[in-house]
Amino acid sequence: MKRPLRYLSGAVLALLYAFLLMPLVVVALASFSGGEVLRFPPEGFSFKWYARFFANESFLSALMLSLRLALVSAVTVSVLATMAALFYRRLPYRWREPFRILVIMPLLLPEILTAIGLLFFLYRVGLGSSAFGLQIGHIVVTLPFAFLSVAAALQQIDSSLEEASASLGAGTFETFRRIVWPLIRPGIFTGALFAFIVSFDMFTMSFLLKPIGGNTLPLAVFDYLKYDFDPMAAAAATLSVGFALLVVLLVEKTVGLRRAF
Amino acid sequence: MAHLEIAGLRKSHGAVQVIAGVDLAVASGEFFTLLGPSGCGKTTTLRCIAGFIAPNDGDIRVDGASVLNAPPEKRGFGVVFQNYALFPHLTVAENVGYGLKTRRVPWEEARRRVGEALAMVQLFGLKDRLPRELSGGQQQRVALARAIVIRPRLLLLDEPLANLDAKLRHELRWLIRDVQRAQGTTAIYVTHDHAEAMALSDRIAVMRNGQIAQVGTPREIYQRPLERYVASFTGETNTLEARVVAEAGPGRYRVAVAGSELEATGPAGLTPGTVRHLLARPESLSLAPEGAAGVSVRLDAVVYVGAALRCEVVTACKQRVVLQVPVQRAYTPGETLSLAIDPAQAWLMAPGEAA
Repeated sequence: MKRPLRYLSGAVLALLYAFLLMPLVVVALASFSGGEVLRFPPEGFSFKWYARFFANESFLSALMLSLRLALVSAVTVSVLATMAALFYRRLPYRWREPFRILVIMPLLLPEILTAIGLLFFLYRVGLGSSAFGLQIGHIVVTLPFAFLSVAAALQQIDSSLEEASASLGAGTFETFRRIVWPLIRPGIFTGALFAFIVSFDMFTMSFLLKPIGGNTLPLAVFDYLKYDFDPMAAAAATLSVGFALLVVLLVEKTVGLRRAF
Repeated sequence: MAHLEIAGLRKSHGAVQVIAGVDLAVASGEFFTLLGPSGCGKTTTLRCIAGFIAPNDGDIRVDGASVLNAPPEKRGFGVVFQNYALFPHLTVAENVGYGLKTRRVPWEEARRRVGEALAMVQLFGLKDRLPRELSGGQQQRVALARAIVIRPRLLLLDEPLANLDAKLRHELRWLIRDVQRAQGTTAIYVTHDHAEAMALSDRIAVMRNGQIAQVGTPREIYQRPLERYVASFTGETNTLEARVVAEAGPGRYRVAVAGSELEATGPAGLTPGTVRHLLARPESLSLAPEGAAGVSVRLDAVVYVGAALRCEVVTACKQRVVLQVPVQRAYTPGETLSLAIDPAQAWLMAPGEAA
């Protein structure tokens, strides 16, 4: 590429990113405001909205519920996605694509449709407006992310590796433990990470299935903004981004994202 | 050390018969090669022996006992794959030691045997490397060490040299042979490269369309092929149509080729009048000045290839023959010459399709 063209494309890209990231930066900066109204530029600097956030009972319980939902989703979905991906690979060729589409269906359908369907279903089986029902909803929506990640990792494993392992005396389980598991582990962690972040930020599903008296963090922020327009909402939103970043960093430190992706 | 028998082996994928009845007997300590073009069923046969796929019919016996009901991990065969199939997350030593770990071999003994196996493939210094840090040739050495360290009853090699360049192919060829000899392991080797098969094997089975066309020593396969397919798959070949005129002795015949009569060897019991294909390998032919005994031919093209002159000649019946002659004499295209065939190397085959 010619040099001026390269500079131009770089500038366009920078502009695009700036446009996408600006709202985030504005919200984050606004959360450190010393004033009483959510506005930009913020008036003064203080941590008071963070202090108020952590003193706010309903925000705190919403944060805890969101963390619990995300954590349970990430763990459950890792196990389910791994099993589904292993099964998927063993399927006869003509059944593979139908199975894959079935598993990633919640990703293809509008979340609101899945949520309405689940709402009816959960009420019918007696789990309406329960924390457990909401957890199921989160698992349904996050499963495709984990499945795609694990299936991609599995695809990297040539079947001759398993054959070699078998010929060297390892049974199915030992081959999984010594060969398949170490090789797909980064994929599983990445899938769990996706599931955590998607669950933590999920709005539509939570909105329809939320348990009585329970609120997730995105819902709590939304509720709060309906009546109050002060920087505490910005603080809550910033914290939610912070948590997502924290999880990414954690995965980066433990397995390394470059290996995971 | 084990002997292998395959009886009536069949395998089909849908309507396609990949193996259409294979019978084989491989002696203990033998280096046996399945040779054939892609799609002839050689790899499928090997995978049936390894236990990676189950045949539809037939039996595979090792030391007299059927192995069909045993999964691959219970068969105790070492397998070397075309794509090496090294475990990417394990070091060279861990790869080689894998089969000892699954066998719960004590640590001290395992370490010693891994060292010996790596020394045998001349890779001892690389034992702590990861597979991706090795060249293709080194990776295949590791794979070979990994397969032999478990002292397998059978060593199965599926085109192990196909992914390597010519120089490495030669080096590794001899290494495989040396290791197999040193261990006395029975080896089943799959390849489509006839030179490789000739150099390595005690015996070769040439396969076609899921069946065995011929089994024999490299010499038999090359010099006494039963049919044209086997001849054309084992090296450069000239085939001339020949009609038996008379029997000249046991297995020796006078035959008519392109208007001349010459002597050739063939299977016993050919009656006069039988039409056969005369196999003439390029090195069994020679050119003499016009008028000498032999088939009269016209020289079509001469190419200097260094060690010899490669000549293309055409018989009176428009049959094209390729041969190599010493470089000493000069030839001019268009001249008429006499083509002589060494009677001991002229061989009468059954007619049939070439490969």
